[in-house]
Amino acid sequence: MRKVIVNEFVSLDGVSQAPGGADEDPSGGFGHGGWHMRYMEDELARRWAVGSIVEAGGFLLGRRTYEIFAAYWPHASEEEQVIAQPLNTKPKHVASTTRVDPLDWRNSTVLRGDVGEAVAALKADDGGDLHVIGSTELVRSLIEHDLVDEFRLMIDPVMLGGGKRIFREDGLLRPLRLVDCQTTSSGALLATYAPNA
Amino acid sequence: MTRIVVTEYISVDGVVEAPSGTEPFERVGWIDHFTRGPEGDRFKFDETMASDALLFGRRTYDGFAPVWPHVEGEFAERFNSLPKYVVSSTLKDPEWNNTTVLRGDVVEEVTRLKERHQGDIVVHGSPQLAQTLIEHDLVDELRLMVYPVIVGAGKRLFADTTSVKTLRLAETATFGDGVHVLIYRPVTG
Repeated sequence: MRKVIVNEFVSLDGVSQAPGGADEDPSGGFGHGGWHMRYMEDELARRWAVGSIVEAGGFLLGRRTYEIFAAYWPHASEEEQVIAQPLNTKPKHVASTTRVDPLDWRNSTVLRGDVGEAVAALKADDGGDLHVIGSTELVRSLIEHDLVDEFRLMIDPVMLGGGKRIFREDGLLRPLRLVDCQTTSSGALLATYAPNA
Repeated sequence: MTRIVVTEYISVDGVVEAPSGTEPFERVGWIDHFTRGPEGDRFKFDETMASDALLFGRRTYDGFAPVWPHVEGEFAERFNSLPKYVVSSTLKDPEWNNTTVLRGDVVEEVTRLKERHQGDIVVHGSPQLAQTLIEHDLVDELRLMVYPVIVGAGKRLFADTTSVKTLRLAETATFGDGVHVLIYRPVTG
């Protein structure tokens, strides 16, 4: 069984919107895009983030994250190839109600039908673990369907004061297990949780 | 130095409502599924022994005031004897020993409190008050005891603020069943 592993950059107040850049997702008037980048100036954080991408068998992406990635990673610089190469070549499964195949980014396909069922079917296939990056709305839906096997949260020491969150305010109570936790030199936490079924 | 210390039981999804006790919240007692171990108990004990005063929002005060006077032991004795302040415009004749009601503007009242005390003024729970203190940069230390659970509903500690607040992670520890203690202080200047 392939695991679904959710990778998120989160502020202490739980916001995951636009960690990487100002133009990434300004929806809702979010003005702090790129807040996360200063915390990546750390060897441990870099290895942690790159590790997930390198070890992934494939990626599960929401439509917004897909579009941001598809516009960026095919044109990434030479020194970004350690991330760009696996992202560009490994299979990407995209949750979208508006996009249809064929998608332009190499090896990308739209998940057909109900997201829960489609991801459950993917998990039963071969092909290594499925990593989710960003994709806040998709993550909410995966949590709701109990499809997440691991949360890898990099929690930055900053309160953004508003923005998109991965945890809904009307979900079920779900006990977890703290699998691992490390601290970076920039004061971020690298916390791994798994469901405690 | 006088400090405002906000200390919270908090879930992975940021909920702080009714972690334990008998409050009328459907998911009350979500920390009771886990043990924080002897080190976790020690952490809470030391915290209260080192407190100089307690500061509450009205709801948390109303939850604590009828309960703590009937609890015995060294911790409860200390908790009951400490000076207590509760932010409320309506509360009259508080019954819990050594309670003062703060009726004025919260920011002014808390700023004055800081002049009156020498050590830590500790806020337990009281999310609405904590949000006001965070918004006005009045929190000198934020202590989070993060329990490994997604509660899924209930009041959260963090609300919208008008600006970004950068923090410094001062200390971390893991106790018992993956209960994670995080201590943050503001980055000033």
